[in-house]
Amino acid sequence: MFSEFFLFELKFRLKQISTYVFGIVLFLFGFLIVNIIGGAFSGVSVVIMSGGERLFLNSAYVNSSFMDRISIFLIFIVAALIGSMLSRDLEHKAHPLLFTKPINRWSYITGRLSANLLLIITYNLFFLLGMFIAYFMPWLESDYFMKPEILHYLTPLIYMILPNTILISTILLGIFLWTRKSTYLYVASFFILTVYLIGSTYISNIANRVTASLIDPFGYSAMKETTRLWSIAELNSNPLPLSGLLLWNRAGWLLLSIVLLLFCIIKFKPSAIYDNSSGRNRPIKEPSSTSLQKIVPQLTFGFSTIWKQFISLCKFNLKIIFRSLPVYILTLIGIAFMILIVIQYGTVYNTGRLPVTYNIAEALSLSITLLLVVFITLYTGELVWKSRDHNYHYLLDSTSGRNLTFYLAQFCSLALLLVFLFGVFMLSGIIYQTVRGYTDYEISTYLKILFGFNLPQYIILIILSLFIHNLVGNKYTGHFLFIALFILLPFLQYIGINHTLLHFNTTPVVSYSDMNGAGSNLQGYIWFTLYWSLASFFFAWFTIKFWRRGERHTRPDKIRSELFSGKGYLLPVAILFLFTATGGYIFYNTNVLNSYVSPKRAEKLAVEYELTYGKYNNLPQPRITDVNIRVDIYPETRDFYCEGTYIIKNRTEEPIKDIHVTVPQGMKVNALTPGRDSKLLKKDEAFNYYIFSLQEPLLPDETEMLEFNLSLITRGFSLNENQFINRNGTFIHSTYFPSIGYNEQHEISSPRTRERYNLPVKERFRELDDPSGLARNYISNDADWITFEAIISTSADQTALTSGNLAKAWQKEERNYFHYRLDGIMLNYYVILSADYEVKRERWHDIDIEIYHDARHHYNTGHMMNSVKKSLAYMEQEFGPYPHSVLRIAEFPRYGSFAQSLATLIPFSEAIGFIADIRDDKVNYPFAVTAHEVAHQWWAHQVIGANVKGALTLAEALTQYSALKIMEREFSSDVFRDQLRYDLTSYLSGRSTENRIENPVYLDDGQQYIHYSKGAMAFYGLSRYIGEDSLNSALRSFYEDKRYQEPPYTTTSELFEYIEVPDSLQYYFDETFKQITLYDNSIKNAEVTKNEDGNYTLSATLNTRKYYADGLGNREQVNLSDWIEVVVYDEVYAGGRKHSRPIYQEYHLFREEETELELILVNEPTIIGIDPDHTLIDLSPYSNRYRIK
Amino acid sequence: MNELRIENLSYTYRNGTRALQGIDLTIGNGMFGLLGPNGAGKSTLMRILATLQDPEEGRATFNDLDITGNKREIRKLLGFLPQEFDFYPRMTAWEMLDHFATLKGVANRKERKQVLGYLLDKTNLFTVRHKKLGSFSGGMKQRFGIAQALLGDPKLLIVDEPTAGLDPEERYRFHNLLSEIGENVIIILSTHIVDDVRELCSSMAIIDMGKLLLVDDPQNTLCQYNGKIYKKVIEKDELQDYQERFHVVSSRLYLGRMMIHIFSNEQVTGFETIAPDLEDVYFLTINQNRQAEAEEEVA
Repeated sequence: MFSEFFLFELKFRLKQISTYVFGIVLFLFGFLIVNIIGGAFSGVSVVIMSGGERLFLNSAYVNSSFMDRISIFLIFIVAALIGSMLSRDLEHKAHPLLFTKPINRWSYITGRLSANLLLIITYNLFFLLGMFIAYFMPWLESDYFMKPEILHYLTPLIYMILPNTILISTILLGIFLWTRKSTYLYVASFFILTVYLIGSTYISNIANRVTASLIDPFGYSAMKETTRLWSIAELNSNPLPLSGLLLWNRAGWLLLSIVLLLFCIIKFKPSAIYDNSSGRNRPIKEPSSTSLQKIVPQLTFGFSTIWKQFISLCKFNLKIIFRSLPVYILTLIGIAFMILIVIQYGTVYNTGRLPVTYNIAEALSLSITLLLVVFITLYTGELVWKSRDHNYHYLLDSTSGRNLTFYLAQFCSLALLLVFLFGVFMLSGIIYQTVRGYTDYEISTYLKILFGFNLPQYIILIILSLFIHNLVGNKYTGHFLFIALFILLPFLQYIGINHTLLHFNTTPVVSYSDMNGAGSNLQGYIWFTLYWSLASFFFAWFTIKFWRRGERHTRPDKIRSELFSGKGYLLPVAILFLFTATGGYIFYNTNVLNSYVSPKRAEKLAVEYELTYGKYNNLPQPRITDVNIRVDIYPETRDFYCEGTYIIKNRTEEPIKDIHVTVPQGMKVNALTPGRDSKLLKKDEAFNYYIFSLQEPLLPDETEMLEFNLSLITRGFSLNENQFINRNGTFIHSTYFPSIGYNEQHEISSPRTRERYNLPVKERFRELDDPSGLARNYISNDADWITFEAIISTSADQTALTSGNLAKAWQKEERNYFHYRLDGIMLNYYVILSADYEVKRERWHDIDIEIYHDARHHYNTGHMMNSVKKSLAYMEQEFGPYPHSVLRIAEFPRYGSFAQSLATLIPFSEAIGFIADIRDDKVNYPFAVTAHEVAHQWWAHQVIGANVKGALTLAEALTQYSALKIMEREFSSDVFRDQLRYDLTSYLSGRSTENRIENPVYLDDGQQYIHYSKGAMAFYGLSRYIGEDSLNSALRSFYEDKRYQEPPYTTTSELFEYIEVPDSLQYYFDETFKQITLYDNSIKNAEVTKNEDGNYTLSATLNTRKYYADGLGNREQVNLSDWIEVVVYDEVYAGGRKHSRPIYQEYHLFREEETELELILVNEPTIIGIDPDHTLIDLSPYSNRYRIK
Repeated sequence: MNELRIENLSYTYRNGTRALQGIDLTIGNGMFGLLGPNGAGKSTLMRILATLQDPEEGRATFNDLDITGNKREIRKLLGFLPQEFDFYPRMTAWEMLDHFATLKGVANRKERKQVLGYLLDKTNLFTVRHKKLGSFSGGMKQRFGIAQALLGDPKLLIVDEPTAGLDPEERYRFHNLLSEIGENVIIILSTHIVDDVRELCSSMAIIDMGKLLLVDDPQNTLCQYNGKIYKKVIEKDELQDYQERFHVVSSRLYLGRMMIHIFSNEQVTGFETIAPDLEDVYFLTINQNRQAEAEEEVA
């Protein structure tokens, strides 16, 4: 019996075209993915994986990650198969025949189910086969691949896909047997998808890793957890291990699905399952007759009738939609998912943002994308197929309604459904804001973001979906094709199709900012939306032409004659004309008025630049010593003009004849001349590279002027719209001004790409003793310390800011003028800001502190002000005086989400800090970030490292160390510990994505996870081991010696000469700063007993392990003889919250992996911790504290 | 006077089934019966006339208007009841019929209300008009389908096997309903039930295997067979023998024995002459055709 059903189902599937379509699509998908990342198409290397460039593209880890990605497909394929498997008999009315036979329900379900499982596994094999075969393609770079191992393909299939398929199938089976409606399968699919997304993205934020690994039904959290500590070398060579958490997860969920399956089979009652006349639809009694007069109605077919028909159809369609439960269930799931995203959205240091409207609206629009796609295909399918599913299509099709009316009614009903959903989500957003105690609702912002910048794209998707569903032979194929298209279309960019004009339904992204509104992409957005709306007209036109009335033609000649028969060509031709014209206008704007550079072209340009001018790198050039600029900003037209004078000085021993000047791309050069007679040797407009040959060489120590006049005029719109000159919130960086000499920054950095172009291997930073590196600082190539003066004009409603004191401000011709002059010297590194600001001013000692912010963003300015004062106090006390008399913080639009420090000026993005929600007891990051940026006024702006390895450790690690110290005084110890743990986890996850070599702290190679996260922890840890005073006095001496130092610049190895470490801790210092050392410390267990004298005895078992790792991540365990802090806490209530309070805090010497410890304590201990404050790099940060039983 | 003219209409399905083979037929006002066994091609013909399928060859015109080329015009005049249909179960009868009425062009709200009332009353569904269609029995659905087909007083009413699922009482009521429709309308009724045609139709056609076998007035047809049909009650095991010796038209069980009708131009002894029944004509026509087809195949 089993084999009967199994074979029947299989034969049935093999007769269907869709079976082959699924298979081929998946094969191509696998083949394509490997080709794309293997560099077959664009030559632009795509790093899809987090593992970086050293991961082989056919390792088990990469394969399983890809299988992870296709799981979204998988869910819908399973839904389609299970759906048609179960509802087929019902639809074909075969169920009375089938279930009156003496069939065995075990074999009925298991037979059909196994056939479909086999099919799904085959699809996955096709996917893997595509990936496998791609390996042999001669055009792929063999360096990216290892010799293919069958096991690396099969383990993910067996461990991940197979159990997941069984789980999904049984869940869907259960749902169907329970609800008896295939629509619910899609509801359930979406729910499963949501769980999957949460599992792969958010679960680690919700639960701890072990729990997360176990409860994630798809096992990806467990897989990540199992491989989290693997080095790249291990990821490359090991197949997935079926052990530990992964084993438990897989076994548990497999068992659960089997139990579920058994339950389904036992509960399965054929007679009841397919009984359509459930309680609600009890047959009714025959009526008795009444009598009414017959009338002959007037039939009309004019416009008013058509309008009434349209309205009637719309009402009918809306009833179909809203009388079905799934709408409401899906909406609820959507809201739940949305809230989850909204809570996480924009979180920094685990601290959320205030629910300001643009933030909520944007999180909403991100979270509902998939839901809307499901909604669109599901209900297009329902509307298109409803009359056929219920067999009244002949009745409907033979009425005199026009195809157009039917089409428009379906389209409008679906559009209304979307409007309804957007309305519901907007309402949920408002409720969420209210619940969070935020009441500055901005309905117009909601409307703009949701209905203006998101809805149109989905409306176009409706048209596409109607097209697909009308074209294909059944609902399931329609769903599959639509979702496949939705997922695959973005991949076009990876096969070298980049221009937005060629990417269906994509537009420039409008990111809404409180400061700058819709911003500079609005114009492009509107034009592209028009363009795609016109394009979708053709889908609509074809759909109406092929509207199914009665039986469809199957013969090609009939189809052709239908398509090309009849009238009504005027409209399509007119639309075609409009479409072409719009496309042309867009092209004119993006490619003629502005330049469009595809990623591949950009790569080639970078190569050309390096090959042409790279020889001038390290060429002796004069240095800029004084900058005097005049900048005119026109925010209304988004233009700016700047003229200025550099004083340049020959600081070499030799005369300099040729001066090389680079002007940034996109800037128009109106004038550029050295102060003395010269010949223009080279004027390369493609790269804006100029070489002047001076009549009289610049002698050593001689100075000269370099005058320039540049402008940037915004014309039309482009695809890479600059986001630094804005209507409100201009942010012009000094990199938009001319620089002297060749600029290394433009070179390609990806090792793989360099290899492809046969470029020599490029070091990120030079070696510690490289003379050309020591001769310059890491911030600017062409200057040491400069004097700075600027006159800036802007529109009458705005304030312009830059480094220095405001010498004078005035108004002329409806424009504001500001004259800034710096007291003292600074790096050649500045920005110019202009916006409509409110200012908060205070004074601390002799320093003016000013915070310039958007009128709405006043929430955290008090914290920032507090932080500036506390930071100035700490820095002045510990290291030395602040060298200027003013310090400003200024908000800029969210196009960048960072804060930066420049002499006297800290630009701070509106996306962070200003709208952080620090009402809960969370890391106050406005305070933290401000402290960091203020500390930079010492580390970087007074003491700057040479442009060699470790430069950023000097700048960032010392800065963040200072900031940590400032925070330690301000934050509660629990919150401060969160901050340290955040740094630790940033380091751990950073090192696993390293695509070259992990360096020790003192040789940091521009690696943020090292110089920022690990570096700060290292210095903080050192301060705990040798004492803060001892470390700070060393840093102070270093600071005093190197302050405003001329070249050669200082390095980390010079810094280390200042730091004195006792012999007993020398091992610690070396391991922390000069090696890669990892610990795995944890409390195995701890017990407390109360003694007769009232004291408490705590006995604990502590585990400590130490590893040395090399730059590739290979690690080996080493013997211990280490001092590690042990802290015991009790708990006290303060301010309504529970705080842990240290009652014992000592360093212990650990020599064994396992250590027994016994302590006599006066207070009752509740928590014991080993290195609880994360002064050491610990692989498992969550196991250091232990709650005593 | 309306006129439906069918000329050389042919249709072959993709699997090779020749559903229609060169049908020629002209139909005027009144009720026209289309008689044929299951799978004869009736439904295909009906669908073509109802604008839901395009013929491969030949054409059909209604009052000189080509049906395939003027679907929208034809649909304005059309009422159609397909052989199999159902309704969206979550709509009430009134909602659904109101929707159909609007789509058929009964745009005036007041008129629509009256029309709906009248039709639902005629089909004996008025009191259940606000019930969901999902709760209707098969017969009620069939009547609702008829009400739907009669919306807007169609000039061309096509009903495909309308009495198939009805009990005798309902069938009788349906016959009354059809007979009340004006004289100035073409009604095409396809059926495999001979009584429907006998009771209702002023003219008829017999169709089998895609071919038109006979077109006539039922009375006229019967006249031709006057005195040529005989009946006899025989034992069951004798049937084979009789079939070899006579042209047996039909055989049916009769009180445990078997009654056979035979066709003969001459007087046959031992048989009783009877007045020809329409059913005899139907079987005769179809048998003759199948015999001819079989011989053709052998040849």
